[in-house]
Amino acid sequence: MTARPSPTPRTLPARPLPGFGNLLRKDVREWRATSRALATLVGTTTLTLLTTISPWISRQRGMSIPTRVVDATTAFAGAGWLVLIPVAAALATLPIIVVERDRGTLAWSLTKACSREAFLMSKLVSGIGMFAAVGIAGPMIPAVVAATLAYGSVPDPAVVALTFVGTFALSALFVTLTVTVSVLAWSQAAAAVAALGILLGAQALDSILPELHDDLPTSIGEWVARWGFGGADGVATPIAYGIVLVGLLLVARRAFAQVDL
Amino acid sequence: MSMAPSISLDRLTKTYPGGVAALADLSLDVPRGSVFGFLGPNGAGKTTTIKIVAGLSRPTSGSVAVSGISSEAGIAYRREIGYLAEAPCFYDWMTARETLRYAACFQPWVDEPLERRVDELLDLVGLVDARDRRSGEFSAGMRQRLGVAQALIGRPSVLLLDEPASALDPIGRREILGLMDGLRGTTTTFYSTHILDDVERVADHVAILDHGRLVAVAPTADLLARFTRGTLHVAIIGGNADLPSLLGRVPGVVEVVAAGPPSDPSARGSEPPALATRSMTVRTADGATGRVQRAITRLAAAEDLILVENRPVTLDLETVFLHLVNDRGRVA
Repeated sequence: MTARPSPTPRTLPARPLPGFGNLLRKDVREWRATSRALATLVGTTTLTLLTTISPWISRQRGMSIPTRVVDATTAFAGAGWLVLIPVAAALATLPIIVVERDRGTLAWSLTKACSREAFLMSKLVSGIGMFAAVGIAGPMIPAVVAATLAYGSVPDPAVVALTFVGTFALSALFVTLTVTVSVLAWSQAAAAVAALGILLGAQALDSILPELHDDLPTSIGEWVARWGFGGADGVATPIAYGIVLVGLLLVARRAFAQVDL
Repeated sequence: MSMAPSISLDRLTKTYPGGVAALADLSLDVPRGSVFGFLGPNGAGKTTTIKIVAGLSRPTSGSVAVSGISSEAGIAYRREIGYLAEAPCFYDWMTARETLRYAACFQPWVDEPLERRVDELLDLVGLVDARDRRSGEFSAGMRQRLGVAQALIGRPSVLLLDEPASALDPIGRREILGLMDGLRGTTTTFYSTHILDDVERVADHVAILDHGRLVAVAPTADLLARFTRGTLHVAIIGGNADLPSLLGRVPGVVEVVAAGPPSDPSARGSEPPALATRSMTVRTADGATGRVQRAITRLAAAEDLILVENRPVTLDLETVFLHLVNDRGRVA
């Protein structure tokens, strides 16, 4: 074994989030390589397909169903996008940071020429982006097809698009929450409990103090739908959403910068 | 070779939550291009030190610089460093080649073809045949080799190795030591280990840490010499029980310690007591070892004694290490 003298290093200009592109490519590949993408797609597709066609199944079995869910658009929109999918987003992204630390690859990556902020942002962007692709867009296609076949008409494309945007926004909040709690507690269980706690807590608060409904960031999905049809009465929801999202990001960034590995 | 230190630790202190002090006021300069062995018992603070230098852990106080660049400099600092963890882990879905490509993509300043560098390193660590196997299928030794290769991919000025040979078989160990030896002069290798024999073979400098404090730091040869200077091992056949006193009267002798009872002539059958071998350790005054050695030779001739041994004591690093860490008083 012999060593050669080092070639002269090139000087590179300073860039924001150094190493982000390399980390993001790796993270996206990891979703595919570890079957996380496939498992998320199968799980969310099964959930949304069943909830989309459950009124149709009930009707086939002679059970009474509310008249309003007999058309394709209503059945599609009522398929639990704003309840089931954010929980699925939290579950799918639980391991993305904790596992990296547990298996030692977090320390390995952070000795490379990348910043901790870049590592964190790569996890968030890949988590949100990949989940949007395989956990939201992926199941929407079979859900639209199933609704069309079951109810005899195509769901309103505007409703489909707004459902996607609303579900994406809410899922992004839950992924950010999961990553933040993961960085604070270094525990998948704690992150899962926090995500479910926020979801159930928001619903409980909504029933106790319904006047706060529009001030909750978890109402962003409904706000998007109302906004899409011109029915939004204010911007309290997106403002609350934005404040909470940025706050979570800042907390995660600060905690991650101080982690000893 | 420049005289400026490659790694400079200045009053480094690390206290973990709960008040556990891992490092206390550690200051250390590592010469550029050296192979620097970092020794200490378990819990001495070796891994903590290496992690701080690698940027994975923050000191409670004190500072670190590599090639004159502060650890606070971010990417400019990291590009100087190649790091191998004690139990290296990689993405188990990547092959060895993909792992090196991934590590290399963070080092765009190295102006040479990526694939050539990857192939060169796979060859260097003996993983050419396993290059397309997933690292998840690798043995601990193969992961260690891959770890060395990825640490070298950016041609760092400093290589930080935490127990690099611990998982390797004797052949792998020899190859890693050979690799470190080959890097001498161009890359500073700072490595922790429990294998003292390896340090003695390859390290030109050594530091010994105990309970987070630096116990000794010196060129390896100097450290060994420091503990052997002024001590002779003398074995004599003949003479009487007063032989230690006789040697004690030689000018320059500070102390004579019998290394054990005379060899038992009855156990050998017919040897008379006069033929018993007496082993002694003779401590001498500073700078008097050679003079005392010659005087003992003359004394043996004058007293009609058979001088079996009359040589300076040489200690191995293990003995020095144990002495320093255990603080058991004088050696010899």
